[in-house]
Amino acid sequence: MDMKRLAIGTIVGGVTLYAVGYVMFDIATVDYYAANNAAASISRDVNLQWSIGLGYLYLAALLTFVLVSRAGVLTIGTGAAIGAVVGFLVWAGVDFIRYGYEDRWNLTLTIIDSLLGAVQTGIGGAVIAAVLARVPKSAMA
Amino acid sequence: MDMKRLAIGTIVGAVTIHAAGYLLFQVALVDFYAMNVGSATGVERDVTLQWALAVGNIPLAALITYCIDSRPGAPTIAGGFVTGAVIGFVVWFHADFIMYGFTNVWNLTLTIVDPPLSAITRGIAGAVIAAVLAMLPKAAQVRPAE
Repeated sequence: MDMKRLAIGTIVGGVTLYAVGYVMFDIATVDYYAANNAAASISRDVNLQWSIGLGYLYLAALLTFVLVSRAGVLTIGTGAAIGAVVGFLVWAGVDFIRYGYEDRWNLTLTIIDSLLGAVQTGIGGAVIAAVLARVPKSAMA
Repeated sequence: MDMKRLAIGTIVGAVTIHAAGYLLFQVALVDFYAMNVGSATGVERDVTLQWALAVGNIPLAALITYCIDSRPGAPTIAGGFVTGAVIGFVVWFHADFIMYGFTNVWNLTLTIVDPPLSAITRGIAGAVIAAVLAMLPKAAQVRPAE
């Protein structure tokens, strides 16, 4: 594992996911999410951006790990496709498990959120791939 | 990617996550989770929807199986455990801190404690997936003529 590429991909991906997530979830779809929240007291008055940023950093690390572990040339298209698949798998899993335990979202939002997560992470994967394509791999022994 | 191995690993992993998760989160630690909720009310279901948990475990099991099977060499139980635990920790750290940032459902203690607990159940699933995959022959590769 090339730690330099992993670190660069994680930071770039974390920033990208945060920016795309802010536009998607804090601006574009905020009313849609509010309309589909079952429990009115659930949302914070002011979002904790440090917590959201920290969370995205971990997803970016997982995404970068998957991207740099695969064989073959890393392209923007490949990064977008793998990012979308990873994002969908992660958020479909998380959302349905939360739906099973909690009454916070209805089923429609549970499904839609997974797809939005795939779009967001697909963009993140494309940006990570574009940056990593410019970072030379470490010389192997 | 061998789709048969991916499918078998995903099914075995999802069943294992569900069983381990039931014992850990719905039996052993149910009181701990109830004590560490945030200020939001009316969030927890009176009766957990097991079908939704089962559906949710499938994509996470697929992700663990993909990562285990894409590593070079034959899968080992220890290696599967580590892979599953790392993925479980990373996925739930991500999801929990995002949710903590947006909602009042859990307090910070539970947000920090949940990812390592999730790593245990996904690690167990990773070990079981690796044990099963080690018994399955890989699909024949195309080899150049000798």
